[in-house]
Amino acid sequence: MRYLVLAFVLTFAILLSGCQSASPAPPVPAPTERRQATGDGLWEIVLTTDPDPIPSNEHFHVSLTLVPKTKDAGPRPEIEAVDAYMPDHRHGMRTQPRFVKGADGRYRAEGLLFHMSGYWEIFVAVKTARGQEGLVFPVTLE
Amino acid sequence: MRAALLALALLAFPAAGDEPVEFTPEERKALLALSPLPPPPKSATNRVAENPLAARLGQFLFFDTRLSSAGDLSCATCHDPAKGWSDGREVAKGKSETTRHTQSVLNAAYQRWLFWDGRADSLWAQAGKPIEDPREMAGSRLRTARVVAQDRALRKAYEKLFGALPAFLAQTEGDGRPRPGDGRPRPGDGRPVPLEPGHPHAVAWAGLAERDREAVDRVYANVGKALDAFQRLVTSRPAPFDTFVAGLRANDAAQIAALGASAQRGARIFAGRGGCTLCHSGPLLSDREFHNIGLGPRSGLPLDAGRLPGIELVRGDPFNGRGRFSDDRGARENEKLDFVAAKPESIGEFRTPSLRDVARSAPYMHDGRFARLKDVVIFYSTLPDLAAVGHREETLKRLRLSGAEVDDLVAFLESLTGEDLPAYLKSQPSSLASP
Ligand SMILES: [Cu+2]
Repeated sequence: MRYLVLAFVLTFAILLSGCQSASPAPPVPAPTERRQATGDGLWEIVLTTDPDPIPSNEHFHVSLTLVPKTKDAGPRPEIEAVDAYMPDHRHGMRTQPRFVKGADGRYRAEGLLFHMSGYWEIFVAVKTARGQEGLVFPVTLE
Repeated sequence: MRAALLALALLAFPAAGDEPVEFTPEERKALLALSPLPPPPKSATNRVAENPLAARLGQFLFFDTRLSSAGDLSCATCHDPAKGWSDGREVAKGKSETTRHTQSVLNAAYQRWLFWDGRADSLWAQAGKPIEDPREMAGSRLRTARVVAQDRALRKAYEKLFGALPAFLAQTEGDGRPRPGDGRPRPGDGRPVPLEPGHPHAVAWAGLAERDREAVDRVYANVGKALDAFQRLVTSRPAPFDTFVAGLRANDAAQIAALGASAQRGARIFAGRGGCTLCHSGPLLSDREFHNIGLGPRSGLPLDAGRLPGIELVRGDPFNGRGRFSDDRGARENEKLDFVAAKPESIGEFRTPSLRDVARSAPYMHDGRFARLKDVVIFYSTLPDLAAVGHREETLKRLRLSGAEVDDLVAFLESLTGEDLPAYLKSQPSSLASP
């Protein structure tokens, strides 16, 4: 009986892989991308973390990339700061992230730390053609 | 026969309030996250952290009164193994009284920052501070280095681990007072005293060549590393609560029964609506961070800004993980020094204590104001004070517990008392030979 089940699973797996591609490499899990658009809707900030998912009570780093939403999105906004808060508890982190500006609209904030489980907001300050605004990325830490 | 009847009666009619406790999936998950306690994290900045010979040397020095100025105090005077590795006092008293309660040494190796204010970033950096504090052991790095260099067994153990001691330390430049026993003069003190350049310890320190001062600092750091290696062994052993959690995990009723119904109800409040695990999180039951819980002023004690000055102190500490005495200045664990930041909420914060073995080390809070665990629970139930310094963190809400719930939480906290540590860890070893 056990062999029957195994054979069935194998057949199914082969069929499935045949449907997708011939590559036998195990799938690399896609990074969790969090996206928020600027107020004018022209640009989007894509946020990923290292490690992913965000660890509990350990340092992690945030990468931010600015992506145009349309062909004529206009001048690329600047990201000016990254911080995080627990709005329900009205407190922030115990750390001050180190903010690094890279090329091509890429940024990195190092040294965030969520010391408490619950609802956090990663706050990104952006300067667009229209002025300054804050984008919020909600995160619930288990 | 009477006992059997009684047992039967108990089975048939469980006493009121002793019904089995049901846990929701969320409560169960929250409780599983609190046990078991893994080994302490590795320390990259201390090469001998896991070395048994270093632990042996550290244990010997932990109980050695020669490191204090008057030869009467050791680390164990305040960190007494018989008193939960604390002292049972409200505030610590070495040579004179301090302004904070003695924290237990138990599980210190798990902490990210040491002291109530986190002014040290490792156990080895921490170890040097009480030896030199004039209110604690009132000794010094120069005395410590000479004690090690001039005791044949200590010297041998030290040199085996850390290499040759500088020759000048072997000369007895004492304070002239006869040493008990052989009547030879005891080594004198020397240490930096930045605010008091005329202090005799500072004068002795300034009298050393710069090269010798650095050599003494290195010996002092190494002594700290040995003390670190010992204290890494002083960790909580499994408690009834751990058996209970193992039972929850395995669905084993006998193990679950390691906690009585009251403690189980307390555990449910602790990990559930009490929100206690927001800060007392993970198997250490501490988030290893700092909070202002809004304790009011205490007569006779100065206002204490806690973490705020601690951040500057740890970043400026020459014995921190980025300093020249670190065994890995580039270690990942040193990132905490780069990212830690003083913020308005740092004012009046103190480090979250681990709750493992908490019943062994009354009184409680950074100033020892509460004699009993019950007083602590009632504090969180009522939040009666206005913060003496800064603002109470708004994470805290009055729990408004009933009298029975207070008792349940206390029963839970008492269920965190682990098995006794082995006796060989609780006194000075008879020799420095490896165990
Ligand atoms: Cu919070």
